[in-house]
Amino acid sequence: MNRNDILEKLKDIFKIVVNNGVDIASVTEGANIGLDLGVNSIGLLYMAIAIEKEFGVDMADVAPSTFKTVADVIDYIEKH
Amino acid sequence: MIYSFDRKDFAKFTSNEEFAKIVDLKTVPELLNHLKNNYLGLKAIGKRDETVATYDELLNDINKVCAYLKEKEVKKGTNIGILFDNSYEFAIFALGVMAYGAVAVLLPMQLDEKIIFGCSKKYVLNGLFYLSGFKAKTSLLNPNELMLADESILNNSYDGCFIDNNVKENDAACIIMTGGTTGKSKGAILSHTALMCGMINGCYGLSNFMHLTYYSMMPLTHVFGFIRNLLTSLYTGSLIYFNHDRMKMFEDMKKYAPSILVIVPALAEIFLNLAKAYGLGFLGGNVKHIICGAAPVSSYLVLGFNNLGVNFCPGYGLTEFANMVSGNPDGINYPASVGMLFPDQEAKIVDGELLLRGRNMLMGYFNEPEENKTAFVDGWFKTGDLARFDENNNLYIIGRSKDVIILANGENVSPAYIETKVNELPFVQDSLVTEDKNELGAQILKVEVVLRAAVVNQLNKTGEELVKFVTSEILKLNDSLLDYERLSKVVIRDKDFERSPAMKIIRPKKVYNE
Repeated sequence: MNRNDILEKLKDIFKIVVNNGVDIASVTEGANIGLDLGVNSIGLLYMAIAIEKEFGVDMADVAPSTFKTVADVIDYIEKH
Repeated sequence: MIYSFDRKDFAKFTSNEEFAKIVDLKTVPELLNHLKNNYLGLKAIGKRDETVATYDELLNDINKVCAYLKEKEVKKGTNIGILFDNSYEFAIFALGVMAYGAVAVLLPMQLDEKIIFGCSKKYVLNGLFYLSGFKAKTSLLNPNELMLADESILNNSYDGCFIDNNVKENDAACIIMTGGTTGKSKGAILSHTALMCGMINGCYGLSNFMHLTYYSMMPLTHVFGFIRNLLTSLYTGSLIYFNHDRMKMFEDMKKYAPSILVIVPALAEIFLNLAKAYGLGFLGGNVKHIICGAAPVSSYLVLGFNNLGVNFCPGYGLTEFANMVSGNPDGINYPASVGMLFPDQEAKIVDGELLLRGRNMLMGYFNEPEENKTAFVDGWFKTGDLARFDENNNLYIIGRSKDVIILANGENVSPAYIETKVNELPFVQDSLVTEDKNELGAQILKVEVVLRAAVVNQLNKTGEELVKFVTSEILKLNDSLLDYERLSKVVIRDKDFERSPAMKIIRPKKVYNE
């Protein structure tokens, strides 16, 4: 799975956690999860759970709040 | 005009048989007698080892806490801290302290040892019950000055009943922090009768409320977790499970199949999106009611869940009113309303602000004489919320007049707290933190600053360079703020803020979209 495939799958997760009218289809790797997408602490929690399920990546040892941008999340998924 | 509803106004929403189960109780010992007389043999609380405690076990363990306090000769009426995670033990020790006739001070589990020490002084703790896993958090406390004990005392055996049936309804029962971890935290003192009133109010307006299954994600140190989740669950002979690992939230819901969820709007939004995408099975497949509050609730949540066949009830509550002020039993017809004022309360609107009084009102803030002077007017509590009633006396919250920004996840941000930090920067003369949206529509915090000319002159920076420097220095403060307190936008003003005659900055009133 390349970075673009991961980004597309992450967009499906963002569709669940982003409720403020942000156009998810146009989200790029550079988007800041908190500031640009408006994902709050509860959204981050769901994001972590969904990443575990979708990508089989163990998120137990990482605080979701350490991810600043979408690229950070993709990096983490690629490394694990 | 004074608004109120009578108990019988809620009868039409519930069957006669079920409605008759709402009996009045005035104290925690009366509640425990109610449990003993009605629910022995039933399942009460899921424990962390996956077993379930029955009401028998629960009452037995609560009695042990009372017995231990008596054995240690703890004086009744004194303050005892409760430091546990969301768990069976939290419930046992908090109820045990109150049933003994002492005052349970509910301490958020994320506090570190320094703040726990500070709380022990601020709340004049005479003792502390804590989870053994939190022992390090008690390291600065002196066991010669206050009683310290963990959950292992539940292994003790005692003969006799140590629950104090002489506790009076107007005695203090517990102290619950309000203002949370943001801004200046205050402890609201709730009497036994206020606590029981809040607990009972949780039943009004629901078609059925007896013997439900709760799955609780709200902290037990928050009134929504402690009163609406835990106490109403026990009062109705229901079974409650606590979330012990947030990553296992959805697995838990499949396993426990809750019939009622008590949640904040930010979680409700995600749940609605998931339920629409994957079906209600994602939430366990058995959810009948969702009680939603602690932050403004959007109408689309009410309609969205009702379309899926889930009774979604927005409500309005305050720590100061034992959580439960109003609830909306008719969301389909009034989706933007927080519903009908629960019984035993009165409300009026003064200058747009909602004022309340009633049986569930706090006794006052602990050791806060100034706050206690300004929080009330002629015996009415000033909620700080801008509100209106419609022709059917349904309540609508339309904004905030108090200096608090409420985020969708229920966190309260105190702009004054962040402004204090910004104002500590030498080049800032004054600042104002408000809620804003970024260009993509996301909720963010914005700070406007007026610069201190004398200091700015010494910086030898002008124009873009100055803006860049000021912005970067202010955004560095984010490192010392909690995630949800972070500033995203800095605006440098070229003139001073609009000010009141007392020279205070006039803070814009927040108005919600209905």
